[in-house]
Amino acid sequence: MNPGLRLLAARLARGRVRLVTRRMRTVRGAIGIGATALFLLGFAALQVYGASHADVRSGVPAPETLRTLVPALVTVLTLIAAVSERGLYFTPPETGFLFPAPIGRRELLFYNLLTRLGVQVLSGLWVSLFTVRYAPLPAAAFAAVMLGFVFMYVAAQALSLGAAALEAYLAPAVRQLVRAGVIALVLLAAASAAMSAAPGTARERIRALLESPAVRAVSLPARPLGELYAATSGAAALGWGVASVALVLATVGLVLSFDVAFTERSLAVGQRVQRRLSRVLSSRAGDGEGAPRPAPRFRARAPRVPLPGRAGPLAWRQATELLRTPRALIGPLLFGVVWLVAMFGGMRAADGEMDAGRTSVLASALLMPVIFGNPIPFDFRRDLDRLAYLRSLPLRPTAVAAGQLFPAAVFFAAFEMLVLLGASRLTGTIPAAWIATAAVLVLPVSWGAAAVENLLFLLLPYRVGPDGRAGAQFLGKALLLMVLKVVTLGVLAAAGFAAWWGMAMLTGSPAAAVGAAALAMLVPCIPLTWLVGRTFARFDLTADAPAP
Amino acid sequence: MTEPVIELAGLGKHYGDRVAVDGVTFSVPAGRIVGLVGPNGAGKTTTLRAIAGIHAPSAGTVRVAGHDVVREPVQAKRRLALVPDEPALFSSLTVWEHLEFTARIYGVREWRAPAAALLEELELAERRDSLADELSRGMRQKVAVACALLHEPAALLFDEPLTGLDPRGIRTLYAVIRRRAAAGAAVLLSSHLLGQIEGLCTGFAVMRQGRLLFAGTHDELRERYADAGGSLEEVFFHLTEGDAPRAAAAAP
Repeated sequence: MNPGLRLLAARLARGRVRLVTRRMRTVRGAIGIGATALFLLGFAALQVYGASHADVRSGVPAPETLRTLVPALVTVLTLIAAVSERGLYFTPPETGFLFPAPIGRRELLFYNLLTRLGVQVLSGLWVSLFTVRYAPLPAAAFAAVMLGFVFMYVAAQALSLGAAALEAYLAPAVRQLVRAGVIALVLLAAASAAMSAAPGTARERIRALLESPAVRAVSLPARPLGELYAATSGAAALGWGVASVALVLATVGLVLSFDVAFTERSLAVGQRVQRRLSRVLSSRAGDGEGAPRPAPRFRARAPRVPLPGRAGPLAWRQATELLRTPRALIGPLLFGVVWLVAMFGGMRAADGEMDAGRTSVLASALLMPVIFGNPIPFDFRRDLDRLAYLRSLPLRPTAVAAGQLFPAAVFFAAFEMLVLLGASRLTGTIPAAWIATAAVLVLPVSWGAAAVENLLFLLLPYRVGPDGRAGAQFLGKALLLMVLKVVTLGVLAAAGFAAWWGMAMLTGSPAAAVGAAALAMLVPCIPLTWLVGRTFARFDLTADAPAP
Repeated sequence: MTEPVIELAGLGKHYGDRVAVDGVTFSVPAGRIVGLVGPNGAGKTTTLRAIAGIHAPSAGTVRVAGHDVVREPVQAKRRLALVPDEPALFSSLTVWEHLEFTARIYGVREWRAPAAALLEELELAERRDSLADELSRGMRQKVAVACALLHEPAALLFDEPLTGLDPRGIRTLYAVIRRRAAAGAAVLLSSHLLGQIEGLCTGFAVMRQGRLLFAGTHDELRERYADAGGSLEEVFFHLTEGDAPRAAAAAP
């Protein structure tokens, strides 16, 4: 490899350590990184304890299930990585310095694979904490997860390069034919897999799906990783470990063997990623070169919001931008569907426990902002680079905060209601009155969660990079956020319960009690919003905003 | 006439049905500074990237210092440098480390003294140990220029080099460009700031909608479009806003 690329890879690794130590020197940085370290150590200790104590380990699937489940998962994640524009991604500095430099195609690809290895290893370490306890041999499972992450990245690059080769060497008409053929194959595989799914419980259906010939055929290349994960003896683990390493090396060889000029495609991928991040996360403009995006046929427009203090236009702006960014909504909606199926898919079978079912469905829907955070960052989090503009507006800070928080709270409340309705439909356990109650309570819950989320963001701001990384302190901030949300929502719930109980005692009317509870939960949101406004007003634009 | 360092012959670049660059032919000899001008979407950046070997041409050829950019990309790239419009630096590397890794990439053995001289020349000597994200936009631009000059390229490509520079920075960059051209480098720079580059460039290539409308020296431009007025700006508007005839390819 070019000595300059070697030096760059080493310097970048050292530079990341240097950035972390530099952040540690500030109070905000030290809190974030300290909390991250505590979170990771605590979590790792729990998982290691769980993995090493037979009495704690429960629900370990049969090796036969693991042998089919792991390759299928690896295949699906690889395909997602290949089509999610992470394939062949180079950062802007890399494209600026390395693409015009006298570096061979293979050297550049090898540099890309090598420098992303660290992220794959870290991701593997993180996922292995959750997963090794479900394998017969934790050490073999650990190796399988680590190799699996490396394989997924390399295989995604191979698929992206294959697509680039198709574009480079095939005529447009032939490309269309190939594309149609691939789509037809995928549909055929999906149909074949769906037909293989037998009726029965969710678990039985999933098992039948995994064992269908279509899924087995598609996930065949990742089979060694599944065998390694499910290995029950040291000899089997060693054999499948060697096979897995060979699989990874063969995929690396495949990537390096593609004779295709990928820089143009990489540049386009990089610009798309940059533009998307610019639209979703900040006000930074994307690169101007290239074809302009075609105007959409339908341009959504949010209604005017009559908020006090002239905060309405701010809320309208956020809501309209959100409606015009469908990609920002697709992720959370998909996640909601997965969450629904995972949590409530098999609940109907347990008809004997209706009350428990109702309570768990309601609690799950209402606690979503605590557990997952608001996945639609159309508030201060997206406006890190617009804070100067927001500060220049002739509005009180509390009004700015209200305008910024309103769309996030309303959209997430709507999202929670969708999840609740979906869960109700899936389980059939929730009466309409419960849903109506939840509809009244969900807005204060979402507003409180959004306020806490933005408060912490303004206190400990972070910036998500073009490659999706959000800095070393991100996990620590997520932990702090979760704790703060639990406390806040605990306070809101206590206020709501007290009001509900008092009103029920006084009037005996359930509707009045619910109304009082909602009002009592909304009242604490006012000082919370004021606090967000104060923090926004005190935000030091020159020192507090992380560098792009 | 000196040998051309940058040669474009019928360069075309298509994105599906959209034509970004259409049959562009011109050359830049050693020691010349050519301004590549045109309205937004004219194909300037695509042309510069094709010369730098980033975009593969759909048609035609590009040669740098005698090397075909498609057939001999590494040899061609060894002789050129591109300063992109947005100076994207590695945020966790210092200014000096950028120069160090650039020297290694291009195989420059004795790089420390030239690197120090470049930092002096670009008024960055005091910031050599600063991380990239501690620099202003203008300083980052200068770091990108310093890295581009370190291996003494035969062809220098600048994409909107004046963006983000203060008047002093612009004067410094002009001096740097003139010195490199005087030393024999062929310089091709794109810019919207016509008044700013008019005094710097010895020749111009004017593009519109991917097509080359004029390529020639400053004097040829004045002579050919004397009716349009004397300044580059007036000729620019005459060429890019009217139904100007397509000019023959020439060496500016």
